[in-house]
Amino acid sequence: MVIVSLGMTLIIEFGVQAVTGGTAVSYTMSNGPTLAGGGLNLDGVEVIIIVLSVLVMLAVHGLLRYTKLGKAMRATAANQSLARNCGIRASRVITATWAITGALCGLAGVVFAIDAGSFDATSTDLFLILILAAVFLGGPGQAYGAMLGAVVIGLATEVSAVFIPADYKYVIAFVVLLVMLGVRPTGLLGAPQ
Amino acid sequence: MSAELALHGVRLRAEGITAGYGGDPVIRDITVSTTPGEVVSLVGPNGSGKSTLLKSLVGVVRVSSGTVRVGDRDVTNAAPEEVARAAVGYVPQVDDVFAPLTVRENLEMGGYLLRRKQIAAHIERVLAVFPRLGGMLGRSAGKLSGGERKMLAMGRVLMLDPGVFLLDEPTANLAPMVAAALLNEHVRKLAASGAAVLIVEQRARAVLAISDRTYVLGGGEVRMVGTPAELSASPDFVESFLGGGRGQAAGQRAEP
Amino acid sequence: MNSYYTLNLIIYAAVDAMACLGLSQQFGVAGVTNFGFIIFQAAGGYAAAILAMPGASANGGFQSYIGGWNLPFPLPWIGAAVVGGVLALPFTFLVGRRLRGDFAAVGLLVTAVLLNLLVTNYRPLLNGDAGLSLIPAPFAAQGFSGTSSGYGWAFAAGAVALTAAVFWFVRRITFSPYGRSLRAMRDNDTVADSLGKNLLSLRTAMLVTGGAMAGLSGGILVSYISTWSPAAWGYAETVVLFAAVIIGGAGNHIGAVIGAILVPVGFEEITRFFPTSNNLPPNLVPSLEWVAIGLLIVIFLWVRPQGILPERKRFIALPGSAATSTPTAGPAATDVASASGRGTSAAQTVVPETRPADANGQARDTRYSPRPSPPQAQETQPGAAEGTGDHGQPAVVLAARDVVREFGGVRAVDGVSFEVRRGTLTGLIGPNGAGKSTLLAMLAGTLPVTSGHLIYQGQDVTGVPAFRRARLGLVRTFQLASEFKRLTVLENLLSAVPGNRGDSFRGALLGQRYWGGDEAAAVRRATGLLERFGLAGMANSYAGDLSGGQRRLVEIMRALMAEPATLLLDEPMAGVHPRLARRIGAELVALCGEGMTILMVEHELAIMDEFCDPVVVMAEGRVLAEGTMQQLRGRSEVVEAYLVG
Repeated sequence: MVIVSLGMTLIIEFGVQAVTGGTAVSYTMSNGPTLAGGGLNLDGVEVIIIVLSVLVMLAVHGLLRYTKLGKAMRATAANQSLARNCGIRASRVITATWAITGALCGLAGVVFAIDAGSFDATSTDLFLILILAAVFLGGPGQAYGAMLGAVVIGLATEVSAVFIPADYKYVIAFVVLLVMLGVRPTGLLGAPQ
Repeated sequence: MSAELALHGVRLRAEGITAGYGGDPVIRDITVSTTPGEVVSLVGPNGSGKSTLLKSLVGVVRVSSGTVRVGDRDVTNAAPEEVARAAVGYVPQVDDVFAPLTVRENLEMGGYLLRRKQIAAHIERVLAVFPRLGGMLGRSAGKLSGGERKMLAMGRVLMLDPGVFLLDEPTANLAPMVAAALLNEHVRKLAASGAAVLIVEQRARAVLAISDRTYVLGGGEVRMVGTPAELSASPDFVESFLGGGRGQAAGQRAEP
Repeated sequence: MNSYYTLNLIIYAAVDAMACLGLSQQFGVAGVTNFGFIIFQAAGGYAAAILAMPGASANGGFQSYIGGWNLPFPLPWIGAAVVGGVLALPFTFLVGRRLRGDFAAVGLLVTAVLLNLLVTNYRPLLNGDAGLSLIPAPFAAQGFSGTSSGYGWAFAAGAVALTAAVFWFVRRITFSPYGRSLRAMRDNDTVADSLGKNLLSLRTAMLVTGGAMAGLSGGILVSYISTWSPAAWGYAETVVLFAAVIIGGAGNHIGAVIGAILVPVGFEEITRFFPTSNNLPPNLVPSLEWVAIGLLIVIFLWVRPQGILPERKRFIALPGSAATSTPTAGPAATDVASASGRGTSAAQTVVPETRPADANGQARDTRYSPRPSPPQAQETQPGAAEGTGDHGQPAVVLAARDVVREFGGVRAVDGVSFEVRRGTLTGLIGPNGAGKSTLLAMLAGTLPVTSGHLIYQGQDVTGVPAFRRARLGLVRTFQLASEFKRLTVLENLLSAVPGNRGDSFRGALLGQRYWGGDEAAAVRRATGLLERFGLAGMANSYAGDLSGGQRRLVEIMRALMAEPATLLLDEPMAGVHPRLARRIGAELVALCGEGMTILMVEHELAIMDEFCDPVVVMAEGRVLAEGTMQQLRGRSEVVEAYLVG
């Protein structure tokens, strides 16, 4: 399955590059008014990003715990054959899962682009490390783990940039990932093996 | 308990079923049927194709020839989710519950096809049939014992209001006590409530005791068919499928 | 098509084939998914470069890099292979027993991304983004010029020869008993572990040898093209190699070579035929190449995951006329479910010397001979001193002392103490949730103990891993399907044999001459067992194709092949026809008579009645009582436990 995902990665990433060429582009947008408080300076866009991520987290939580689709997703993940015997159209549920995941990633891409300034088809390669580190820190399969991991990794990488050259700030994510894999692969929120 | 449980049974008819997992067919030209209120059992030695037959009825295994009818509906090779919509409930031998979900959520999944308003009422009904589940609605299904899991699995199917109940060796990993209770109380009551029940079992003597009709499979074909009385009297049957042995009968009759 | 072009083709084909063989060995044969594979090739390339190049300042001074020792050929290539292998060592923590394969793969993928980042950004190391250039070709110091045609062909010949050597090497490994252990690990690592295979050691060996092969391929490549930069080894290159291996056929060595020719080489060549134009977006063709590779992966995994040349079935001829003997176990053994395997092409005959048929065809030596027990530990357990035992060995073989298993707040086993005496067929029964299977798993080592001690043959084995317990003679079977699906029935049995000389890396390299004798003896034993249980006719079928009851038999036979001193059976009769179950029971009793000790978890009280003495009853995580079935039936608390459960 992972291999198929990598194959898809190639198709999409280089398909985009084929169409757009290799040049970098950026959004033309203003950053909005600046809010200052408690020693922090945040411009309007940044506030929106923060609010957006909190909303997304709440939405995912609500989806999985309280909606029929969310429970069907958990059931299908746990035992697809049995889910189908209950009448759940597993293929549709899986498609919906991919669609939601894709949408969330697309949103993340936009946010990334806003934050980074300029981007091209291959800018997000390094993102892979961050995402994986966050997921494994929280625990694969744990939605709340991913949220926790994302916050921790996001903070850790940026803070580390104060101490080491900015080009290497991702190293901390890398270290976290390998440590988690070696010590506790089920993550902080997963059950210990 | 069963006064509240009224199921609208449907006739299940499988004719000339030949099916397998790709390559050679495992079962050939099998015809079985069951009617509402009846307990029909399928027995036979290992490899005779009992589980395969059940799986081919619910769309898990591909049928290469033959038809499966539920009531008037032809569900041959229909996807499992469509077969569920035909009010056919299937309890597999293993992986019969959603382990990471709670007992309540398992039942809710069983009622996936119901309208939201009906779910609560149906859960009540299931709890009336399996009272022990009431005490563990919040518990994760993976933490239940074998007998409790089977009850949950059957309860999940019951949520669907099935007309046909397909059970694949439900007593397989249960202690004899629990197995006897399952067969004598719950399975028999399902039929008594109006469903058509088709049950595959290894413990031939135990299931014979509750069956109205039994098919004996062997080598992928139907070898014998009859009522328990007819079969018990047949020397062939006693020879091959009950295995004889002095401990056997005692072990399965003494406990309940 | 000039000779330069052909030369190019051959060398690239050799290099890619070598890399693909390494990957196929890791992934296809051993099931080690290494998404960072490319870094091993990169490391080899860099190693060869810095070994061959003169010092940085001497080399014009416009590149900065470590090393630069100007070593003559063949040292740079040797260094490349060594560095590739050594680089694997830090990552062995990822492939130990406990981590899921796809997680480990992700760890390696991320490492690849990160190393590329580091090398790109940290210029003093390996000249950063620009990479190294002016890497001297072999014998450049002696004045051979890379442009002379004779030199080119010699180089190509060398590359091909090395690739052929690698091909020979991987085949030797794969077609040995060691290779069989690798494939067993791939198919079901938990079971392989319980049969005595040291997973960490096996996977480490695969990472290191695969890394060395990749490193060598990198060294050769670098010496040919004389440059090497991070752009050449992004993480996506690993995907290309995976595509090649999958398309060619994972686990098939010729398939790996075919894949190498079709994918990396084929793609390069095809692009020559595309027209270039300034009207198209830049990077269109290379981008489309990647898209095409991605598409190929997805399509192949969808339509033909076994690849162009699937792994071939290892057909082993049974000695004598065993293949035609009539099975005696009744319907269970002759079932139709032996569907011809999917995706098998030509079968390949392996060994053995066929003995002349025995005068009485029954005289295969299937008598169990207990393994000599390991040197007794100094400490003897209280209570073990009583009882005579044979040959002065203590009467108690296996004991649990206050064993507790707690997980997720549930005490599956709540302070169990009991003893299993030598030569007994001890039954373990109890209602569901009693903790029988959990206790058995702890005895075998597949589950860790929360507290308490396990004593085996006088030694405390509480902390000893499962594979070591198996080597001490404590072997278990599993309740659910655990056969090695892509091994034949015979191979399943052979995989359990302890002490086969071919079952080590060194032994595999020494070849059939070295391990042939052990193998033939094992085949004879296995054949005997197959006949005893009536499955000789299925010996060369894939174990995954058998019916449920037949697979149970394979499980039991396989456990017996491991020459256990003590056998732990987890519901061996589940799903087995009563008559066959009784035959198995009789066999087990016979084995106990020959010296084996067996502990069996079961539900069928009839089996307990007839064969087991003593029988231990558990309920709710504790031992309730012990005795014969008759005695137990008379005890009210036992009957109660079953009523409530």
